[in-house]
Order: sequence, then structure tokens, then C-alpha cells
Amino acid sequence: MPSQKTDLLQGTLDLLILRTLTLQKDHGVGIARRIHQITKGTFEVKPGSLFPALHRLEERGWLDSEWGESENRRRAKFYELTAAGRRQLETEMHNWQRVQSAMAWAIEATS
Amino acid sequence: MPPLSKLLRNLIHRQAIEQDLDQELRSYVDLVTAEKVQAGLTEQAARRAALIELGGVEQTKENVRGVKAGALLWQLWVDLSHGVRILRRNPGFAVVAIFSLALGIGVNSTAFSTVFSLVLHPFPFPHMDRIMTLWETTSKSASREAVSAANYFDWKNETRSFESMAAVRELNITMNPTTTRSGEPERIQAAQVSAGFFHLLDMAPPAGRTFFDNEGFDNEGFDNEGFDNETQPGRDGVVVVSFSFWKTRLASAPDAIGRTLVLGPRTYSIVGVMPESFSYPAETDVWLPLALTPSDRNDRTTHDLMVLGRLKPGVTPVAASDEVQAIAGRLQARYPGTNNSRGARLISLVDEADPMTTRFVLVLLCAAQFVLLLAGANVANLLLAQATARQKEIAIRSALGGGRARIARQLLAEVAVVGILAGCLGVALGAWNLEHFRAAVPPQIYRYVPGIKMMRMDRASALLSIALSIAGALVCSLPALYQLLGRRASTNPGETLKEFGRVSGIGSPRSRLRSIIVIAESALALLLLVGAGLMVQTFRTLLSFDKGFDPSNLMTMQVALPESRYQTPEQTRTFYARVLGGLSNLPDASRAAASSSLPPRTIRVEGRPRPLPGEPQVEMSSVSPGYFETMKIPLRQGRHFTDSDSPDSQPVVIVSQSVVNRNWPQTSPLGRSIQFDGDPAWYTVVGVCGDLKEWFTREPQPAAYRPFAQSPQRHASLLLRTPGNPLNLADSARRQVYQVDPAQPVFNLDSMENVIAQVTSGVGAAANMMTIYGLIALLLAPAGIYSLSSYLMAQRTHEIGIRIALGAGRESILKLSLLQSGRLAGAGLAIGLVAAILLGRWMSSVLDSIVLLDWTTFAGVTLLLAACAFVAGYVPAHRAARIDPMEALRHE
Repeated sequence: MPSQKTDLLQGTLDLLILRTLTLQKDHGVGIARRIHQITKGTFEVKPGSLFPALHRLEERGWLDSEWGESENRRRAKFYELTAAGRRQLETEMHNWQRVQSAMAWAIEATS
Repeated sequence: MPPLSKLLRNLIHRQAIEQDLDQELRSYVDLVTAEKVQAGLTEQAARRAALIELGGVEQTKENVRGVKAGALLWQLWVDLSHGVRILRRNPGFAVVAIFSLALGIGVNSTAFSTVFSLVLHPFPFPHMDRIMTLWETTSKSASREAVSAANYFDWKNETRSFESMAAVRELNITMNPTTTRSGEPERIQAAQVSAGFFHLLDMAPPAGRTFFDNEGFDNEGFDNEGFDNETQPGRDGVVVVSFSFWKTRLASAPDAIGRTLVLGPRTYSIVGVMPESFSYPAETDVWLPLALTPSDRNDRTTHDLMVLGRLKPGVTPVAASDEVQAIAGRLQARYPGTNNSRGARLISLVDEADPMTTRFVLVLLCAAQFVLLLAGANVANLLLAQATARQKEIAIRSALGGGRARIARQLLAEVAVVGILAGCLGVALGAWNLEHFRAAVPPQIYRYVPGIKMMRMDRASALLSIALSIAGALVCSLPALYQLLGRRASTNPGETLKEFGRVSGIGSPRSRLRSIIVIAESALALLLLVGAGLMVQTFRTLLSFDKGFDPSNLMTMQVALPESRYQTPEQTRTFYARVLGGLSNLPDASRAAASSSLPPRTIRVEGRPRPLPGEPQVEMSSVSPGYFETMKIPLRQGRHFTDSDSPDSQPVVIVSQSVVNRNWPQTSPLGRSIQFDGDPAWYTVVGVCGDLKEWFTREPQPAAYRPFAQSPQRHASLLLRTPGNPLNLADSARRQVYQVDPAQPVFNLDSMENVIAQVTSGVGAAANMMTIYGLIALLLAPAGIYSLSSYLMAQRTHEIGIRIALGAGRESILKLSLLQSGRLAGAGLAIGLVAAILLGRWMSSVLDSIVLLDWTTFAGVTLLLAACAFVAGYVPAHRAARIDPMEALRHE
């Protein structure tokens, strides 16, 4: 069903964003580029879904944001993982692994 | 950050957050541009690529806003402010729509608060629904009776259903001239109450206190010895006064508490002043402790107490009624001598309210609903016109991908704004109207209609009205929504766009919808106007019909002689004879008389069997010799009373025409003897007079009159016929009484016409309200017709242009267009007329046949509305007929 598919994708995007920010804080473009990079080009995150996701995560208290200067000296809004965000990442990763193995079993069983 | 503070932050710092988001997106573009420039693109190409990558900025922003806390609230706000913007772009529509709806809501808010004040909350008591009045019943009559003290105590001691009971005895006391501001004796309304009375009603005085238990008699075992109730009508000399008593008679004295009042034979000191909202029993001036002697307390034969009880929480009135009846049953067995077949009856305090008032309020509420329906129809009509005008805009928007839900939401937001504004304006109008209505109520009515004195726009009614306004506005938008978003409109926006601007005559579905609304409006308007017409006609008739006597230039005032000073009939007779002598000698008085009403009786005619119980009774009065001449009641047969009808002479009676018609249809009643039930004496009929008519039903009232000298009454009305305005003689008339007895107060002095105006003021107020409703109807319905025919004419401009160009005469165009609006109005009036006849019947049955089905009202109102409809249709038709064909053909 379409709505569940969206949820899955949305959850995936959230997980990717949180994962990207574990190492260092970053701005929107940086996050998008890093996701592109770490998924080996599988995911290309458009601003139309990136910004709502960032704001949603911030709204839930998993991210913090502040204005700063980018590497090429431009003003940019940087996002950072909060303590709650780190805990959430743990849970999400755990969940994801469960889904992943479940899916793997399912696919193997039917094939 | 906790969610609530986030929500608040998002809502309060909306602007800052919007700016922040804006900057964030801008910085995204900057960063991407910089990236692309590094990759080797020119600045310009890089920026363009960045902007393309960013995509739909508004949509992204919208989605970000959507995830924010409070997004829904914010969206509502955005929609509402959008609604306000649209309305401001089209102020004519906004003003007409808001004002129409506000009128409908205004009359409803008035009706709601009337229901609230007069029917649901006529008393200010916090536990009003748990307060019951208790009465005794006898097998003889179905009606209720006051309670004897001993029975009251037994009920009070044995009941388990009531938290508390209290007893009240109403009486009138004379306020000694030394303590009144006028220096004349004044009669005031007093209530003797048991100590628990104020506590039972949960009312406490803002200043001072109420009674202590030992000031009444409620506590068991209290020593009542050595107390002489004959000379002291209160156990202790303490009194609680009402707010209005304090304000008028004590001139709002700040030091009122502790002052003394001389009431009747005793001196009382004031211990408390009650709040303004409290006057129970109605219009009580002072409350005194109800002090009963031991013999009073064992009395089962004097029934003069009104008993109140407050139910324990959770006890139903039915259960309590069963219990009290069971107690009464036990008392019957215990005291067969006094309590034989004495039952008990319980009536809730709320049901004690005047049933006629409730019915009037009901009729007004129904009429107000009709006004709202009419106003709603008008708004729906306007919205449909709007929707048609905006069809193109909306078609374009939906072609560009505007979601149907979004379009619907904006339309709803727009009407919600109309609803909110109309609701607020309506409540303000309603409050204003209510205040006028209340101010027009004569204070004499207060005691008959509890709650009317403190009637105001209450919060519940105001909120309900505003909610109704918003809901109503939303409902009114349904036809427009259907038209905009219905299947036809939405499947193919392209079709709509192509269709737009084509001729759409009366047959097209959208004008069919509007036609139906206009028909409904005409019908509703007729209904309201007929309702108003009937009510006004009824009121006029009440004031002007022949009541059997002449109320003009007639003064009436009352005197109630105290038993203590007027013990023998002779003393009473002498008093009234001297007062009447003085009154008839006043230079400007033509005649004076005294009359006193006696309890109604059944008549037994000499030589015929005794009347059975339940046979019609006749009104009984005791009247002085000049009575019929003073009242101008015609004497049909026989003679008037004279001074020779004395206590020692033959007992005589004058009966009214309807008594004669009933008992002596063929023969003359003169010289016959009759007897009244409960009285062994035989009375000789010496005269026949005209009937007085009941003021509301206009039915002749069978009556019998006895000479005042043969049945003197301490409480009597004095009547004075004057050549001019009777109130000019008020002071000298009052002085005549004081000259005979300086300690005797005169009360209820007024002209008979004023008395009639007071009695009929309820109908008058209803008539005024209905007239307002009728005027609103007269405003709204033609407005609807006008707006529809203007619209239709505008739609057909092109067609009319062609017709004229092809040689059609102006008259034929005029006829064509008048026919169109005439058909609608005619259909509406026909439906309305049928409905109005049903309404008239209903009003008449609800209001005890007061309302006459007056055919001239029906005809007049129909003609009036038809004329208005004609004008409303003629103006646009005339305009259409003068179209310049060249202009019209160019018209898109």
C-alpha cells in the first residue's frame, strides 16, 4: 500500500540523515551530498524532501540547528545530532536490521 | 524542548521562522551555486542549475511548515486570513452576507437568552433543578393547597429524600409613615421564612447576615414558651431586606444594617441586604423570621405555608414525590379528623414558572429559527452568485493543479470568517435588542414572570449563537461548494473554462438551485410576516376589544384594611363609605365605587337540584352602589344596588347576562332566588348586567355581584371615573384615604388603561419581536429576488441584445424578465401561504386561542410581499429592457 511505502522511505531518509550527522555537524547541501556518497549514488535526496525531513527531526528534538559558516565561507544552517537523536539512531538502526533480516528471510523463503 | 512550548514558539515567532526557512533555502542555492562554479560553470549557469535543483520553493516551504508543531492551527489561521483577504476584495458581498446572517443570529441569540432566562434559569439559585415546592392536595379539587404547619413538620422530620425543607408565608405589611420617605404609610411585600430558607436556596447576603436558627423555629426543642405570636409577627425583631428595598426605600444607605424599620405594629432591626438577583418569593421587599407558637406548630387546619425542599443529590423528583405521598398517607391514618384524604404534591420550582410565558418564548424561538433560515437562504444565494462569478478563477486554479480539497478549504475558510463576524455582530445586536425588550417590560410584571427582571445576554447563549453562526455559514456554503466541486464542475476544468461566458438561462442547474432558494425565501418571508401580522393583530385586539366596561379615564387603587384595626364589618363599611363619599366629592371626579372580588362559586337556582361538583362557577364580587355606573357596565334588566340594600335588608344579587342565558333562557330572572355553594343564604336577583370579557380569550365571564354593604371586604379596589386623565387625580384621591385613616396605605394606584397595558405587555412584547422578524423578512426576501433577477439579466445580456437587435420591443423584454422573477415569487408565496395557514393554526393552539386567524392579515401581508417582490424584480428587468443592443452584443 502506498502510504506504508512512504513511511518506509521516510524512515529510511530519517535514518540516513541521522547516520550522516554522527561524525560531525553539517548543512543541508553537505547532508545531501554525503547521503549520495555513502549510498554509493543510490539515493539522491532532493531539497523538497530533505528540508521537511530536517525540520521534522528537529521538531522531534533529535537534531539541533544553528547558523554558521560553510567551508567556502558562506552562511549556512548547520544541523547537529542531539543526545536524544543518538538514542533514536540506535533504535532506528536496530529496527532497520530487523526489517532487513525479515525481508531477507521472506525473499529467500518465496524464491 | 517540550512540545507545548514548541507549539507556542512556532505560533508566536511565525515571522522569524518563516524568515529563517527562507534564508535556509537561499543559502542552499548559494552553496550549490558555489559548488557548481567550482566544478567549472559560469556564475549564471551555476545559479540556474542550483535553482532547478531546488525545485518548487513554495511546495518545499509548505511541506516544511506541515511538519512543524501547530501546523494545523497555523493552516487554519492562514486560511482564515485568506478568507478575510477575499472578503475585503469584495466588500459589497461581505457586508450583505455578514449583515444578513447577523440579523438571523441576532434574533436567535435574543430568543436563546430569553429561553435561558425565563424558562431554564428563572431563578439565580445554584441548585435550582433540585429545589421543589411541596403542596397539599384534597380530594375535593384537583388543585394544590398550601400546607399546614403540623403537616410541614411531619414531612420535614420523616423525609429521607430532601436535604432540607423550609416554609414560607407571604403577607403584606404596612410600613409606618415615620419610616417611609414619602411620609405616607406604604404597603410592602413581606415573606415570613423559616431559618433554613436562605440556606436551602444557597443565597447569602453580600452585606450582613440572614437569620439565626433561634430567630425562627426550625430547631427542635426550642423553647417557645412566653412568646406571644398574636402581637409579634416575628420571633425576634430582625429583618432581611431586598436589594430594591434597600435602594429605593433606604436610599442605598451604606449604614442600613442595624437600622430599625417600623413594620405593622413592631420595630425590626435590619440584619442583612440580599443581592439584586434574589427576590423570592417574587418581588418580596422584606423577609422576616417565621415564628410559630407551640399551638401553631400543632395546627393541621390552617393551610397557609408554602413549602420548599431541596432534594439530596441523586434523588429524582419522582422518588421524592412518592416518598412525600407515602408520608401524607401515613398522616391520613394517624390524623383522620384533619388529614382525611389529604395528599401531597411536588412541583419543581422551574415548572412553577408561568406556562404561558414558556409558550410565548417557544413561539418566538420558532419564529427566530425561521428568520435564521431566511437569512441563511439569502447567504446561500449570495454565495452561489459569488461561486458563479468565481467559476473561472477556480477552473483555472484546478487546471493548474490546485487540489479540490484546497479550493474547498479556502471557500470554507471564507464562509467561516463570514460566520464568525456575523456571529459576533449578531450577538451584539441580540444583546441590544434584549435590553430594549427588557426595558419595555413594566415592573409590575416582574412578580408574574420570574427571571424577566434579570434577563440578559448570558454567556451560554452568546457562545451557542456564534457556534450556530459558523455552522450556519458552513451549511449555507454547501450549494456553492456543490456547484464548484460537484461532479459536473470538476471532471473537466477545461469544459468549464470553455463553457464560461456562455448564456446560461433559467434552465441551467446553477440558476435552478438559486431559483429554489429564492422560492424558499419568499415562502419563509410570507410565513414570518403572517406570524408577525397575526401577533400584532392579536395585541391590538387585546387592547381595543370591548371588555364589557370602559377602561378609559378610569382610576383604580387598592386598600387592604388590617384585621387588627378593623375587626367588625361595621368598621369596614364605615371606612369605605367615608372614603367613597370623599372621592365622589372631588371636584374633577364624576363617580366613585368600591369593589372586592370574592371566591368563585357555583349557583343553585330555587326549585332546581343542587349543582354537581365540577359545574361551571361564576365570578363573585362585592360592589358598592355606584359600581356599574362607574365602570360603565350596562344594566340590562332590573335595578342597580342602592343605599337601601343594607345588612338588615333582603340579601340581593345582580347577575350578568351569561348567567341569565344559562339558567333562565326563556324567563325573566328578576325576583328569583339563588344560592351559592358553601352559603346557606338565599339571594334575590334584582338586576341583570352586561358580561365582562376575559382579557385574553375574549370569552364572556358569568358573574354575580352582591352589595358591598351586605358583604363588606377589608381588601377592596377603589374605582374613580374622571373626565380627563385619571392620574391627574392620583394625589388628591390618595389623600381622601389618608383623611379617613392616616395609617392606611394605598397601593397599585394606576389608570385602568395602564393596568390593561401591563397585563397584555407579554403579548405586546411578542408582537414587537415578531414585527422585527417580519421587517427583517421584508428586507431579506426582496433582496434575494433582486439579486437573482439581476444575475439572470446579466447572464442574458447577450441574448437580450440579440433579441432587441432583431426587433423585440422593450415591453416584451420587460415582460419576459418580470415573468421570470414573478414565477419564482409566486411559487414562493403560494407555498408560504399554505405554510402560514398551518403556522397560524399552530400559534393559535399553543397560545390558548389568543391568536385570531385574521384573513385580512393574510391577504394584506401577501399583497405587501408581492409588491416588494415586484419592485425587486422590476428594477433589474427595467435595466435589462434599456440595454443598448450594440453594447450587449459586445458584452462577453
